[in-house]
Amino acid sequence: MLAVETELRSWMICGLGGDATAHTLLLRAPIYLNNYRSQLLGCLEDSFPQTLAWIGSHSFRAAAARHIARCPPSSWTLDDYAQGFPGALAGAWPNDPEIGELARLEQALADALIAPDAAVLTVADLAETDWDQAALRLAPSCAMLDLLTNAAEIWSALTEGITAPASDLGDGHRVVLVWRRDWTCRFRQLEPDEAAVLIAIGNDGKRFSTICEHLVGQLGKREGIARAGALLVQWAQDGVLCPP
Amino acid sequence: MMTPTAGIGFKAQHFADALNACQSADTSADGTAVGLWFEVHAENYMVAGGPRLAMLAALREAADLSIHGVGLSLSSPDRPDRDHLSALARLVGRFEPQLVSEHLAWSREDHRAYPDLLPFPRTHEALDATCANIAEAQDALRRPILIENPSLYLTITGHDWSEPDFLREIVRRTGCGLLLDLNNVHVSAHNLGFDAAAYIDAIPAASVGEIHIAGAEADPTLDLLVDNHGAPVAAPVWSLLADFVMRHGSRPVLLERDRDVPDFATLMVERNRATRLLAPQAKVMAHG
Repeated sequence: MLAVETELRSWMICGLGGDATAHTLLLRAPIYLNNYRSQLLGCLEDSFPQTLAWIGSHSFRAAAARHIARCPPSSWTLDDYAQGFPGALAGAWPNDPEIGELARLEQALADALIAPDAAVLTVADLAETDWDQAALRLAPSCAMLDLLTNAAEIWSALTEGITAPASDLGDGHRVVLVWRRDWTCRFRQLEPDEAAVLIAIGNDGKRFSTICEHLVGQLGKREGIARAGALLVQWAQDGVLCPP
Repeated sequence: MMTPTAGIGFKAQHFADALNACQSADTSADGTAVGLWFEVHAENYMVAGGPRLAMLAALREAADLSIHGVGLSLSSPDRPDRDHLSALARLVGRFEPQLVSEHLAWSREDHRAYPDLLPFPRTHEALDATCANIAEAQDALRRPILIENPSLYLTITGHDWSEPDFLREIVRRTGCGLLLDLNNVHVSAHNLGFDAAAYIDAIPAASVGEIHIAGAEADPTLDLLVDNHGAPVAAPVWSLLADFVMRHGSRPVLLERDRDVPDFATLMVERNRATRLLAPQAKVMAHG
């Protein structure tokens, strides 16, 4: 049993080589190699459709083939196999950072799609909450991506089938919030103050009163409280917070 | 218990049509969706939340369900992955499907996983390992499962058992049932050069709790039939099904289609061909 497993593993990981063609057991083993590679390639193509569209099928398949050769799967679910590919793309195109970031965004959307279900704070809940005491926590599907490029704008254009903008490094990093509302994954780029607050909430939860104090310290009392209120309404509309 | 009607392998893109077919089956003038059930690949639903599970919950409310595992690697010398088996047990516990099945194959070895169902020599050692793994899975799931015969592409040497005898012995030792995949029999018979009807004669028909039908693709380069579920069911597979039903009675029959998946209505036409084959022989089986 082990001998056959070893032979097949060798074929699937290493491919055809040497005098293996002479081995009677493996005269038809390419079917397993073909299936192994096509399953993993299919997983990557399905997981990163807009990254594929951005760099083209030829480049994507070449990168996928290198990744498949270097990184055999170790998990029983193909959902896990896509996880390492954004890093591989970033490493393969260090001068085109939007490629790895497009893949990171697609992976984040895929992760959000299968994140735990949870009740979320809604606009209707706002009036019934004691906001002096309420602690804020992000919904389980929420993730924040720190991006250098306009990858999110490129993804949106590709998804809508319109001409994508050129890659743009802009003038600094951008934080994109990814989450799932009902059955649909969403994302939006955050303003710097909102990103800072949501990152703090995401790390260990924060009382709303603490958020208010933070924003008052930055913007002054009137504008700080107004900004905190506006953000709270936005988060309730988006469905990114757990009920207090 | 699953009634011996015909089902379809569920695809997310068919969700609305599938649900509508189930909900209208009782009042359908021609009754074409009566008894429609669905099978899903277990690993696709071992997720924390989201639309996959929500769709499955809605489908389960409307129809009978079979959960079909593809990655437990029951014929590996290693025991089933603990996390994987726990996830399967949670899924089965939540949805309480009529049938649960897995494969006579291995797909994991030395902390590596292969997205395939791989062959092995049917030795006494392999029989012991397979039976121990099936027993562990059945204990974890608290129910008997069905084991599916593989599609084969290689003539491996070193067998101590024929495949039908191996399956019979697994059934005897573990109390599991069999999932008879007629397309796999057709594909293996072509690729390995044996007689499909003789193979089916040799398996313990009374233990068959479910039947799979599907289409295969020819690979002229390798002179193989490939079990890719990418085409309509082939004529020889329909013949095998008709013959099995005539001789052994009806079983739940599942139409599989995983590549070049057509629309739901097209699949229903093919599914209803199976329904017509089953109808004269319909009798409830005790499996599941």
